[in-house]
Amino acid sequence: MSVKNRWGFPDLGLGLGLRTVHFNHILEHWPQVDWFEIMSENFMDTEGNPVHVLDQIAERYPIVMHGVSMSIGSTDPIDFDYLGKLKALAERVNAHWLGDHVCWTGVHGKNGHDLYPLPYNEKSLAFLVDRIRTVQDFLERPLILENPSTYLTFANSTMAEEEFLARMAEESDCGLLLDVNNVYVTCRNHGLDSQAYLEAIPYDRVVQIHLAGHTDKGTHCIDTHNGRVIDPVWDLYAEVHRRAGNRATLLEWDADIPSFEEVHAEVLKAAQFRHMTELRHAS
Amino acid sequence: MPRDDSRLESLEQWLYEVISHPEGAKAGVEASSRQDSPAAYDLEQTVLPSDQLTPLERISVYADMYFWRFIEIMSGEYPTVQHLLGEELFEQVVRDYVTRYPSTYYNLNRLSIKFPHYLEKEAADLPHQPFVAAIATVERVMEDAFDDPYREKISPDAIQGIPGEKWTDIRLQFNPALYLLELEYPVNDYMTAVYENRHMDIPQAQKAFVVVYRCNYTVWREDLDYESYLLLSRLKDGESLGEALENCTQQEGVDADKITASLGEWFQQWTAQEFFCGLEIDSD
Repeated sequence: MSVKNRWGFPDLGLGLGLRTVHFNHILEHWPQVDWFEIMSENFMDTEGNPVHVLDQIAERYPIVMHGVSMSIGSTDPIDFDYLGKLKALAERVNAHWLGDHVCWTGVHGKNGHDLYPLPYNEKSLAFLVDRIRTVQDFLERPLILENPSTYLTFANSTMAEEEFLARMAEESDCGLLLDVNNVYVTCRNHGLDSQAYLEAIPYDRVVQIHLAGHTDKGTHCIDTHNGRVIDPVWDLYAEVHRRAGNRATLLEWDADIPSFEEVHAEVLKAAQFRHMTELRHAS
Repeated sequence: MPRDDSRLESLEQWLYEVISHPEGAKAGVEASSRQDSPAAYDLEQTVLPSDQLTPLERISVYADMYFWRFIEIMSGEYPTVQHLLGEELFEQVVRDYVTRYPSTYYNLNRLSIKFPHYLEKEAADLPHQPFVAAIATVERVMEDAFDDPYREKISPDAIQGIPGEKWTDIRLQFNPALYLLELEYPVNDYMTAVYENRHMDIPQAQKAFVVVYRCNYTVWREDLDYESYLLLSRLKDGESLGEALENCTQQEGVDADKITASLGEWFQQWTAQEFFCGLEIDSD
């Protein structure tokens, strides 16, 4: 495994999001998958079957934790009860790293359970950096934060998302999970240049890459994690590889989830790009 | 000098109020522009248009997903309630419920904790309302049992090893994922029919007793007769077996002979079903 990020997190290879509908298949066949990513909250506040299955899977596969409820960009107080459970779960499954999204999910105690956008300006950046540092201190590890798909632009944004992410990562010393499908969706929704977006990303902070399908509504795209990865997203993935080399790569498929084999076959398509990177490095 | 995050806070509050408005984003924008609104923003000056969408259309992407997400979650948790109400009415009921009791916890598994209470006390106009509320009670408890703490079950040897003269002195600790329900409708067969996609008429009101429990990481529900329900309830309340038996047999309408005749079989079955996770024997 190559190590090309500043924390020495390994390139875990090609992984899959662990989903309930595949539990039985995995326990029966123990398929050759490099690693699994879990949605952290699905295994918190439960001592039932999900953690029973996860314990068995964590014994055999590397695990990475990716959450949706940290609400790092919310102006509500940081939820240390949540963070405590997150930390305990990370220890339980020996998670290689854990992360969430650059977003907020609720405010004034109410939770919409969605990834809401922040305005990209100096004030929100300073606020976010402060929060990330506090959370990292508590968790005693770097946060690996993902660029979200966004559907609106605030008028008081003063910088591009990619610049905001780069500065956030630098100033808070956090890692990045680069979701190339989200790059595509966001750039489509805001009429942005995806190449310029990728140009601005600090790749020594990119620990992981996400791939997924989305839904194209014509006027805008929605990050539904439904269906196969489309060719333009594979092109972005190839470009990220050209810039960064091999990174732990994961496919998310969350709606109309097909068989385990079909989902696995989709992520294995990424192997050709990894192979090209290896050839380039060899030459 | 402390940083002032009040503008970000009010922006987040405004966006949340708009997208969670029960009548949609347009109504949310109008409501938030009133003078008494805690966070008043002008939409056009707050959200930029894209080449394809107006600010209202862009914010509506989030608003459309707000209730959809909760409806999807709750239709998974309450399939029988959804079947009874039909999809359209169920969606409206969820919208009303979430508006009344918005999610306040980071995990969605607590979203519908108050749903059975809401259906029973605050949704009187619903068709078949008491039956719907009874069904919701069972479906919610099944969700709880799925996630409840795990405790090692008591072994059959531990039960069989109790000397005969000590049996009345035992106190049992129950599996935390076990619920005893007294209901006004026999819901169990109806729920099974819905899960199996069979038609069944809505039953008449009649007292029913149900146990919901988790065994080997699977959640089960089962009808109980009155006697076993009563005995289990008293044991779960902490009475020793001797106390529970005595109190049960004094209860009006209880068939004491049935309890005596069934006790051994019941305990065998309940142990196999992982009802118990520990026992103590009272000492004199």
